[in-house]
Amino acid sequence: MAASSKQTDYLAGAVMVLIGAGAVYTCTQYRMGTLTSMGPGFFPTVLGVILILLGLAIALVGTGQVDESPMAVLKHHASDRFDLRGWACIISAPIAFILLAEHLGFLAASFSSVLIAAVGDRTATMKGSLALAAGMTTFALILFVYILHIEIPIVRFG
Amino acid sequence: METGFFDLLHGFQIALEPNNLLWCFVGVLVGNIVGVLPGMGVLSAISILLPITFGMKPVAAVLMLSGIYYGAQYGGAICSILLNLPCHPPHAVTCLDGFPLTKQGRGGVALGITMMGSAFGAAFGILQMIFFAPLVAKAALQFGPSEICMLMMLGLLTGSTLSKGSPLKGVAMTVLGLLLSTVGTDLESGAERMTFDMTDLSDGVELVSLSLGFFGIAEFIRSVNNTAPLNLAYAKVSMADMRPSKAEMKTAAFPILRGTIIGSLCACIPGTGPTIASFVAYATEKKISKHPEKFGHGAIAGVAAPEASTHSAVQGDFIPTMSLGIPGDAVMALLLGALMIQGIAPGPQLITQHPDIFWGLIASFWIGNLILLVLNVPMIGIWVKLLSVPYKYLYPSAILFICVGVFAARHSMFDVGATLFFGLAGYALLKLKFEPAPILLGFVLGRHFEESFRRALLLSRGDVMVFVERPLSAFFLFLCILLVGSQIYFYLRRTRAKLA
Repeated sequence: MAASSKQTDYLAGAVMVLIGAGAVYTCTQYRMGTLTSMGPGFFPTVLGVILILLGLAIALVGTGQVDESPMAVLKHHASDRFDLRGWACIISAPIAFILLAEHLGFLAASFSSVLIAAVGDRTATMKGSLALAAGMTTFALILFVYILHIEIPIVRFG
Repeated sequence: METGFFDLLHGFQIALEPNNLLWCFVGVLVGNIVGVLPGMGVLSAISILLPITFGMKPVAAVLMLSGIYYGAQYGGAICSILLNLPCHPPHAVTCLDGFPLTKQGRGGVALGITMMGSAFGAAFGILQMIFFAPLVAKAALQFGPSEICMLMMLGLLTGSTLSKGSPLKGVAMTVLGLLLSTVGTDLESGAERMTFDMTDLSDGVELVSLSLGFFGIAEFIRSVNNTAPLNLAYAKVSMADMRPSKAEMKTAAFPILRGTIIGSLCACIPGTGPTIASFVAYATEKKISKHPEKFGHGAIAGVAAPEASTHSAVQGDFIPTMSLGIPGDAVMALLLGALMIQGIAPGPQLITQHPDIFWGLIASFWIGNLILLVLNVPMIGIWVKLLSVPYKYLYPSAILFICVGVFAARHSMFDVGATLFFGLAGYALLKLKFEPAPILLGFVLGRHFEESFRRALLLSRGDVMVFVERPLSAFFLFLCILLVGSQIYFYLRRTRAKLA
């Protein structure tokens, strides 16, 4: 366990260094200004440098993170493994919503995004998922379109 | 003091207006439901409803969003005690003794004690807010930009180092949040920065996108096909079961009192909040108890104290947010964000400039907690039934709400895409064992922090010594250094202990 948490530290630190460096690099296009009158680039550059330093500290010094809190006993998550089916379905659902809402309107977007998301669960049945999608679409239509008046075309072609 | 009384009366007048009362009710109801449903978080619930509040009056918006927060605390306790599921961090510790009580058939009593402790803790927390918030705000009105800047830095540091997880990673997340807040148009020069030439980003990152990505989508990806199986065998309680006996009341009385005090003390330190308060309260009870061996096997005190402390801390959490404009945790950051979207600048001037919001909010706390008691005690059966709603129906529905909610915020599909992006980024951060909550703190405070930093240095003509020369600012800076220093000290002591 110790080795893998060390690895996480390296990776986590590296990611922070990359983000910090990215920010600093992007800021080279902006005016830095002086301390008295700072340009738009000053503050983000400072933050980027701090992030690089923090990233280095995380990677080199390490966080010594161990699950020592009482919460470790009581976990909501059974494990921390990666689930490809769930992952794929959950990210596809908003994509479907975006594409369909633009071209076919709210009903199609809502129905398919719930359906796609629901299929991500390994215990889901087709019938149950369809019923959930239909029910949620009806509910969302009443709540968002009729009660809260969110401007979104209900049905649309093209 | 007398004016305080009249202000409070005025607050009740506002909170009892039918429109506000309705939204307060909606807030606590949604909160209670979200609290009970295993696998739903307060942060995502507030974020989903945030866009709806854009069209509402500021008072109603704040009443509703706060209602979700404290309403969820009542529901979260039910989830912990009957299912042994710590879906809400502040109630995780309640599982330890709550669930054994349930197994012994005394789950109802545990809930009854929880309700009493919650109501007492909340009442105390609200009183504390009535007395302290105006005093704090009055003192803070004297602050110049350098003090505000240092105070914010202190708030950000405590928020990121005292919460759970590694302090180093917490600070990194705060800085990331600050960095995200710089995306968009620079307030002073009008130049666009960090937008990567995307016009949709020129107004900055949308708060709702950010929080629903990190706390909605990312959480769902982590939880799908991955939740612990629900044990519904003991989830049966009726109202009659909830009445504790006289002896049980007596055992609970002092733990409730002690828990309340611990909670209100924790609320005074930004960044500690309800979760830490509940753990401290539990540990204290166990330490001073004559029968520490009973803890973990159904000790009434082990339920009463943490629950009371959670509720007093939750109400106390509002003090720094409302009086200084500095949120103690991510939920408060969202609430501040909601105020800013309404065009209200949070800070020490809020209480005097917008007394409706401040006193209306306090009055709504009383009303909301009363509604919650009525909702929870006689209707406990309904909430228990809600516990059995499976996760596979919850998250797809929530994803739809997220898509529509984010879209509604600015009528922009770009923001829905941004939510997905933040969801993926958030999941990656979770995998790297980052705790994303401080991102929200940094993001919400970012613009204001940068502004006061620039103003302080403008006023001092670029002399950085201004932060040390002004006594109060130097004091806050000293506290920051103390905080960082103590973290390093503890780290060194830990590693030395490991080596020895």
